[in-house]
Amino acid sequence: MVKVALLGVVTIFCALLFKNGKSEYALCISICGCILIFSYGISKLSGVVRLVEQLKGYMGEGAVYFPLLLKMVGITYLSEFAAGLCRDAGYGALGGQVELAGKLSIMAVSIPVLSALLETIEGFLA
Amino acid sequence: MTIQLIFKIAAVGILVSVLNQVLKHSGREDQAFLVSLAGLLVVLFWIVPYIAELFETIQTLFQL
Repeated sequence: MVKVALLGVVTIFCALLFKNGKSEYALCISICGCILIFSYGISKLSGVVRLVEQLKGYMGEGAVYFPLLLKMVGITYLSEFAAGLCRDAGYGALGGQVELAGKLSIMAVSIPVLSALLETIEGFLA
Repeated sequence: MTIQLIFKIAAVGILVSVLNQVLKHSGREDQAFLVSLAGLLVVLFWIVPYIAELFETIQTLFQL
C-alpha cells in the first residue's frame, strides 16, 4: 500500500511539471500512473476472485449470477477509469457520456437477473 | 513497467519544451511544432501497449 501511495505522489509531481506548459504530457503521465496503480491492485483482486470461485460450491443455485456480478464490477471500473481521465483532461461532457454508456451496459447485463426475479415473484403470487 | 516509464516521459517532455523554446526564439516555428509532435508520438508509442495490456487484463479478469 505504501508503494501505491508513493507512486501517486511521484506521478503528481511529474505531471505538475507540465501542467501549464505542455498539458498533454501531464495527461500521459497520469495515464501511466493509473495503469501502474491498477496493476498493483489487480494482484490483490485476483486472489479474491479465486476465493469466491472456491465458495461457488456452497452457493448452489445462486452461483449462476456470480459471473454477472463480476462483469458489472469490470464495466464499472472501466467506465470510471475512462470518465476520470476525460475529466482530468478537462472534458467533462465526454466523461459524462462514457459514464452514461457504462450505466446502460450495466443495465443490459442485469436483464437476466431482473427477469429471474420477476419469475420468482410470479411463482409466489400464482 | 515500473516508475522508469514515468521518468522517461517526464524527460521527453522537458527536452521537447526546451527545444521548442530554442526553435521559437531562433524564428523556426514550424520546426518547433514538428519537434513537439515527434515528442508526443514517441511518448504515445511507449504508452499504447501498456493501455492495451491493461484493457486485456480487465477483459480476462472480469470475463467481459
